[in-house]
Amino acid sequence: MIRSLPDEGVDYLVGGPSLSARPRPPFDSLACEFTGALSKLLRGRAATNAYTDLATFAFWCREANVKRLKQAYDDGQVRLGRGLAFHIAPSNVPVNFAFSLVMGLLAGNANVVRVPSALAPQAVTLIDAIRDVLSEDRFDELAKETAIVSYPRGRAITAGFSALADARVIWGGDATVNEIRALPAASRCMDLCFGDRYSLCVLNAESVLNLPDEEMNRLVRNFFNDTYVLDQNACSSPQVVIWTGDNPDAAGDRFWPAVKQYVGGAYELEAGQAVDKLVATMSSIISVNEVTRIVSDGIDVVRLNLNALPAELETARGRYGMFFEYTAGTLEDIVDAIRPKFQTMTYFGFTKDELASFVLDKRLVGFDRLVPVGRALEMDLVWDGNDIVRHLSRVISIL
Amino acid sequence: MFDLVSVIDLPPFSMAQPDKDSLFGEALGDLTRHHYSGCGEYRRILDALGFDPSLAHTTREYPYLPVRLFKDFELMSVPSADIVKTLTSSGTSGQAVSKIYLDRAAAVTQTKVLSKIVSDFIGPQRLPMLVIDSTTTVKDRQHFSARGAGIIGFSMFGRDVTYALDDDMALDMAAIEAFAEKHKGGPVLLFGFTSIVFLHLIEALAEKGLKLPFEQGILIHGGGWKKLADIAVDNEAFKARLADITGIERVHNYYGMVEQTGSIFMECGAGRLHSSIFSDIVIRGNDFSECGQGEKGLVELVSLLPSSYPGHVLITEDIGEWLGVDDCPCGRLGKTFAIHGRARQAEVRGCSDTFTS
Repeated sequence: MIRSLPDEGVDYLVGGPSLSARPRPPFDSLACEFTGALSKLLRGRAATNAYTDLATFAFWCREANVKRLKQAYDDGQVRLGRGLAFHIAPSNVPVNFAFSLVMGLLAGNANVVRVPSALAPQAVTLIDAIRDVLSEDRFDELAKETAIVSYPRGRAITAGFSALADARVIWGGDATVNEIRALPAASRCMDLCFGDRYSLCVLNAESVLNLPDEEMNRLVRNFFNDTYVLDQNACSSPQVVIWTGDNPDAAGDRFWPAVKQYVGGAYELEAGQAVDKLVATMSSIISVNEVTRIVSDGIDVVRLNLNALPAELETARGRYGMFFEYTAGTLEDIVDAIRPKFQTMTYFGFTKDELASFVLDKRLVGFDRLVPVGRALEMDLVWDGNDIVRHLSRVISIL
Repeated sequence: MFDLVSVIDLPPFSMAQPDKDSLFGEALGDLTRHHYSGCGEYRRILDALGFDPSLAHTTREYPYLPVRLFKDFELMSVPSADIVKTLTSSGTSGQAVSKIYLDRAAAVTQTKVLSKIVSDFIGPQRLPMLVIDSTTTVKDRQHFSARGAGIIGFSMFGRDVTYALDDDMALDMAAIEAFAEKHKGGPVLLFGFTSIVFLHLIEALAEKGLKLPFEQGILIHGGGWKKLADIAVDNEAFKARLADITGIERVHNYYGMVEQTGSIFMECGAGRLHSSIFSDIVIRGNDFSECGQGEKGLVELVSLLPSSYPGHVLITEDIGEWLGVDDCPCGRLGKTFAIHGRARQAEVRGCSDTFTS
């Protein structure tokens, strides 16, 4: 099962143009050993602690967590990976490619991951670590099943990889997804596509008002981690804050100053970013008719009050701590604004049962994740409503 | 309503800052109300910001629009039927360009004010002029690029206007030699974009081992240092090389943008950029608070000229510092400043479309 991959014009950062693509069962012991070793190596490197996202990845793929993840797949079915999984990673969630690679690996596949030419420092650290772990003798076999590549834009090389793939994992905007899906692949090839998504935050006013100070601080820190940490650019970062309950004004008067205070000590904009934020704010005032008023005290927290939820809410996007804000009486009031593009609802002041019946009773067309404030960016084997391990493996029926 | 006519005949660098502040307070109020009633987008912005244009404000209190907004929206404060000319910024291919809409009055004012400012530096007489560019840059007279608009604007200060470069931006030696022969030893005006002057004139001549006899010449150049910064050429190196190759020792760099054509800022003999009675600047930090003297920050540009589009108060992505007020050794009054290039373009984080990157 040796496959010859495109070589000309391709930079192999890990592995080489000859790849062994014999499938493994999901959570194969060698694959689990590898992720554990990668986690350990990363956590021992100083660079890892300098980046929250890198540290989070390292923690996520530790041995104990992978063991825990495995349990969900102990379902008695006989499974194997699909063969060769080809991943197109986005450039600007720097560690995303590594999650994609590990998921492909845990599903039992050989993996080729295309990373962008300009790598963030976290990505460089990660690639070095992956290379180092794979160079250990015990991972010889996996080393032959793994490649991380980079090449300049252009469809010819992507087409070459696509033609060899048994599965394609495509991260990016809608344009990228459509462009790559259009390239021919084997008829059995499984495409997992992660295009543009939109996320928002729902806060219950009374729950916020009733919080003891210490827990208020935790809520604010969690909100910050969901939004400011990736400059609100991640698909799962909330762009809108929706208040429910009877006292949204009082709750806002408590919440936002606390956010501002936290942001002031933890976040800084460069001059160019400050202008970007101003451009985004003014562009939104012009193009989103429902914006009535800008509320900001300094530029750290900019709020754009909405008098209604726009029909195309997903076009209302913030940057660097710029939030659309809307007061709804109840969750039911936002049902009509929900679109299939909606991915994550971060929430505070709701029970899981309440939310589950909201999703089911209202038969929502959008939202694949409802997570407590603070967990928006948490990566999971279920993403955008897809169980990645099950998609990237096949079930063998033995009757 | 403030009328530019009331100041247009004053010498452009004759007003001390306190007088200018009160003039601008009133004039910007009138301009702001005019744009507020004429431009829906501008009105939405002011309303959302809670800015009441009917109240009195000081210069630094007026809302500033980011220059980039003119790339994303077609902003005008007069009926589109009144637009006689559209200026565009000189973006690289594929990039969005600013679109600036001028009615007749705005177009006329720009020319007048440019003339007042430039004459203050080079005198009122029209000089033989060598344009360091190609005629193709100014072909379409209805839709000017910033470069084309600059050339046309400055050409009114010249006579015997000669283009030094051919259609391929290579030296047109026949034209240059004829011009030099005719005007050698006398005063001449050279004009061009900074990087074009350096790369396509100075360096191109040096490569051929040629020099020009313009000891009495004046060079006016503008358009930014970005391209030259890449090859580590600063203002001083530029001037030294220019003097060596062309003989020119009088050099005026100018700073301005297509969004405020006309009210440009020119560098005096003391090396400072000057605001005039038609313009002012404010330097702002990363949180948009006002910077003190000598502190670097984002450059906000104020101009009394824009009447057909809401471009009278703009925040740029350039970094600068103000050097003094009413105290330049050259004697010109007003605020002086220096430009230190563009704000660094931020890295993008998040999962947007990146496959092609």
